[in-house]
Amino acid sequence: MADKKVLFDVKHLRQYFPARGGKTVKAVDDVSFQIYEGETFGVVGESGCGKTTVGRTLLGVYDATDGQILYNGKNVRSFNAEDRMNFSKNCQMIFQDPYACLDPRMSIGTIVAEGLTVHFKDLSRQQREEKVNQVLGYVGLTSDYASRFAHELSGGQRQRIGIARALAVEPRFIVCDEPIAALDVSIQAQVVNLLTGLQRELGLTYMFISHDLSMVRHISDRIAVMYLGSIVELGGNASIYGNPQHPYTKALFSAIPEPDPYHSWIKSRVHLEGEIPSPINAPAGCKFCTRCPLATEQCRKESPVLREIEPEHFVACHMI
Amino acid sequence: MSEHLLEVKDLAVSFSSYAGKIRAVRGVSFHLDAGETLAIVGESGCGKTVTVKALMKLYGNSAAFIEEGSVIDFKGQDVVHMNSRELSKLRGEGIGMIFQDPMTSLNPTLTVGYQIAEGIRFHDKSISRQAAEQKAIELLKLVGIPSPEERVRQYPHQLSGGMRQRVMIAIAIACDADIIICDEPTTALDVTIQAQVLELLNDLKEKTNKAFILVTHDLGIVFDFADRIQVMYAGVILERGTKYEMFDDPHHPYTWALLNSVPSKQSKNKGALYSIQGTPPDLMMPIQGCPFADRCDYCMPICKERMPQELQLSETHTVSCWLEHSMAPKIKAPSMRGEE
Repeated sequence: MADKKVLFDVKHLRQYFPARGGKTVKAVDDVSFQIYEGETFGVVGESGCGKTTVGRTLLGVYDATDGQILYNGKNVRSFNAEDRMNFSKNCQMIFQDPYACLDPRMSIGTIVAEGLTVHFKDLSRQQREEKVNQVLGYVGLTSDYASRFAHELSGGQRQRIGIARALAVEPRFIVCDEPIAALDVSIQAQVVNLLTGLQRELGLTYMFISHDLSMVRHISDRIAVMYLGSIVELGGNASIYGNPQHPYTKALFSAIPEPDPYHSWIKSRVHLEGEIPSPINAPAGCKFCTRCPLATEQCRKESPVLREIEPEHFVACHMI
Repeated sequence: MSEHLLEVKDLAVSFSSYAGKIRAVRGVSFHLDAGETLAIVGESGCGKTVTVKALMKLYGNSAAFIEEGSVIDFKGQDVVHMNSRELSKLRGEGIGMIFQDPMTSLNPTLTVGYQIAEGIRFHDKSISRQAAEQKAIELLKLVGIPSPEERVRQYPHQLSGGMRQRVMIAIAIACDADIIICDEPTTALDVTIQAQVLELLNDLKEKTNKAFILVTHDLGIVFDFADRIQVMYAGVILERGTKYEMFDDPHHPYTWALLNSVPSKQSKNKGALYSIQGTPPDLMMPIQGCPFADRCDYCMPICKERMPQELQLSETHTVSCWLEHSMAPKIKAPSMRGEE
């Protein structure tokens, strides 16, 4: 991977939100990772682990509390107006809920063309229409969808519009935030096939955020496993799924339902007692210590840092 | 009287709407015996929830109605023609239900103890308030909630999603129903919590002689939990069999597609997933022929004209597909488990 170009370099990112009673929700707490050009970077974890917040902060939806985000080697905080414009053109997002993310009063054509009116001001009306038809074609829809409205479309078609809207401005990087969570199984496969196909054709980089572990395994090159705002394990697809090291990763992956009547995954899984604590009162030391079968005194006091245990495979655990 | 605990014959359920009649369930027959688990699998809108709600006529004021000629026989009782008093007795005492979304199915203004005891006290008028609460505590203990004596006085918002689903399970089993319907019991939960809840349901299955009906779209949980599986599509059953038959020897192209569209451990990284083109049919329109014909890779002219008959492959395995006809081309099921 050394020869690959780093697109995003994230260092010690923190994203805190104020909560009632003067408390703080530490949604993302000291997270560092890199995203290489052309890869799919998967982020998995249970709800509330901060995976969506990481994606949003990366794109500047939230202003990071602390830490650095370098895009192409340049700090996003020191962007000038032109850099910012470029950044917002090149980095797009596909949202989770295809029902909520499309304006019901805008036609599909207007929705898809909206980004063009900002980033491609020079296009004539006709050129814009052509561009809209072209991206609709990318996502497998015909040009007559441009005059329709969101309520006329099914969930899978709407998600395609969400993808077309992101593609219209010719981005290099797309954050896919649970893009298939709201879709039926047969439609999920359609959308995932579409995303992998587009990546091959257009050389896109994805950050694929999902709680669907089997889909992340299917689509990702490298994967970060998050728990309560921290990355507990990071590595290539094969090492994360084939050789998980962190006790949380092991438990999480053993809970993936496998359709196999001869082998019960429920009985053979790694048991994990209790539930994810609230990020307002995250435990001291290792955040996983309250549920970890290996936890010791050290884990309750010191929080572990990511260590490289084999090339390109990082684990944050005292016990390994 | 039927020999089965529950026998459903030619069940058809429709909704009346301003635009016409929506035929959500179009002739479904199945049975259920004590101690076994039946899974109903299908995509959203295929009629699986409507089917199980019909079993206790749980439609409230909605526009749904059960069509003439449908038979639902529960322990020799005719459910279709029950009056409201008989239905109240059936619900909870005969059939219990675990709903999909524990966030919206519990009343936020009542303690969980009250909500569990509500059913107990409704069905057993002689039981005292204290005794009912005591029973609620025992049930909370049974479903694995720590410190039930305190939890029983708490409100749903004080519990996490997994705990709320455990409370839902406690409510469903409170009146010792013979059949427990689980309608997408783990869809709203995280994977580790999903595994905990499924383990609890598995325990209940082993400890009691209750029959379970599991409604889900997730094939991953079906094979671990169910004994028999039936695949529904557009209001009809396309294939049914034991879990081993459905896994080793599926016959219907829709079952193939469902099994193959989920990436498995063996599937290739970024390889194409098997996907079904198009979307399910509009149930407002009359469907001629097989409802899956428009999306089927193996569609033949006959498929669009006539619905195939249900063919018995073994005592437990049936399929409705023209590919089984002696004149149809012999098609090998596309290889499962990922090899391309």
